[in-house]
Amino acid sequence: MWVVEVITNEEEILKGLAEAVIKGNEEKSTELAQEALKMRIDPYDAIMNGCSKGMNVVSDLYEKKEMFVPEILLSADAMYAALDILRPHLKVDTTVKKPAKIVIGVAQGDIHDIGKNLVKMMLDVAGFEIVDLGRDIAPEAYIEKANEANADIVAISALMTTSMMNIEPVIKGIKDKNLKAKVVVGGAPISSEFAEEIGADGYADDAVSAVRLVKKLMGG
Amino acid sequence: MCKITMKKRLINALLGEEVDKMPVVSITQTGTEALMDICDAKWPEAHYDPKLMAKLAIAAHKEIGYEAVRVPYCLTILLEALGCQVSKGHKTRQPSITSHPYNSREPLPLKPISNDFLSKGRIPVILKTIKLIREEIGEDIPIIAGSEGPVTIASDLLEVTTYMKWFIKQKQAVVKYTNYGANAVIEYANALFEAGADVFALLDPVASPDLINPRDFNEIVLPIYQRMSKKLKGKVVVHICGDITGILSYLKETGFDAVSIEEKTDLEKAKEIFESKIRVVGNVATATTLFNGTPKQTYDESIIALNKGTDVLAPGCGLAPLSPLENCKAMVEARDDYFK
Repeated sequence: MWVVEVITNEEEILKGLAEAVIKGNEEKSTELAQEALKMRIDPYDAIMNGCSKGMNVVSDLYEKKEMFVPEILLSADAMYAALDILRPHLKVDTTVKKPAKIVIGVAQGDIHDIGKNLVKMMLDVAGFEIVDLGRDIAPEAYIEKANEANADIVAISALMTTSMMNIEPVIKGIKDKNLKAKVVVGGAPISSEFAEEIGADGYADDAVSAVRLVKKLMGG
Repeated sequence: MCKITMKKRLINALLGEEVDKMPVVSITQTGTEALMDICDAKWPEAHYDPKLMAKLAIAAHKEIGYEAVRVPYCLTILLEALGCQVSKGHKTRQPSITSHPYNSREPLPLKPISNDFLSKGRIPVILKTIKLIREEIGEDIPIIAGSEGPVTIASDLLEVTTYMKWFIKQKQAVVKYTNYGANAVIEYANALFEAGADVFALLDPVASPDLINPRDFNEIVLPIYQRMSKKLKGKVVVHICGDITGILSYLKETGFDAVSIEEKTDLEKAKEIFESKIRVVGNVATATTLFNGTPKQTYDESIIALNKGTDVLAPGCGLAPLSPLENCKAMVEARDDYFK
């Protein structure tokens, strides 16, 4: 009897976490993340079957244009509140393959970072390791970080016709230095043709397809 | 039909009345590096000096052939007057907002818009520029003056992420801040008309469904636009970036004269939704075509826009500063050939 009850509670908590992320309820997701730890639910489980599951629903609704940026920003807050509580308790499993590492930022001369933040969050929740450089980032900084972190992917967004010109030097620098990182790009003025022209390895037109693109490039 | 002036042509087109040919203008910014070099009026100085601003604006009319003179080149004039810090940018980078005076976890009280508002920041520069342009070009060529719209203003006073979240958490504050932006726009735009502007371009990129839920646009933004349209004393074109298909039916009800769209919004679809209630301006792609494409591509896209029934042929968004002159000119050539 006791065992059954625990299972039910665990399920309820995971479901509650997903729900809190979908609804963008930060108080609720905080409370449930703490509850999950108290109940000794595996934090990995709470993240993958709670938070991530919720965020997958959010992605779907966003793609269907049923959810918009304001709602997603609140979902992100709710998710990160839970992750901040759960992540320090993750058991380090050395047998599991390390996730791909992604360096992300907004092109130099550009301060529009909502899109970049959405992409970052979606990649984060998909299990990738993210190094966020921020906005208005010089080409050299991407190259340096990609080298230092031995990054698999460099993701750059640009929202202006002026800043999109500052992506090509990153790609060139990464090739010149023979770094392994693949470069993916996105943002309003960028098209797949432009991405191809400047030698990018991929282009995505929104946060959800960015995750798909990165997974494809990583062979998954 | 006897020959009409460029001004009459633009006004008629915006009213949906008969014209000899569709006007070709830019509702959005026209400063390019090529023009700066030709007329020797460069950014960032041309954002601050009325003579240089006028010179560069007139160059877009004289060198490209756009049938209007359009000022200014940024979306920071009202925001600066309302207390935001502005970075000047450089020759090929527009000024941008660097501080958000009302950014806070909870809504802060707004400072009332002062009686001397029109003397704040660069507002006097713009008003002076319009007068200079009018002296230079005479009465027959229209002047288009633009500014950031209320949603964009509110988003920068607060910081855009905060503003977005408040659409859900602090709806009343969003209404208050956006109305505050609208009040500033109304006062400024009417001063622009008085100084000699014929058309006011209301640029509100943050109102796009790329950022805001169309349902919120309908509920919160539309009533504010409607209030503005009743108070604005001249022709108004509203420009919103991105794919705005989801809010076209609401924009139809604004009371403005026209909606300027970019290539991500289908022009035919816009015409179909608008019927004869509001006009369409657009929509040659600024990034892929005018900036990164060829004159031929620009020409072809202009013809497509005319075929789809654009009321005013125009770039879909602000010209990229590095757009080649030949591409910009191809729009005018296409329009001329179309009506030969």
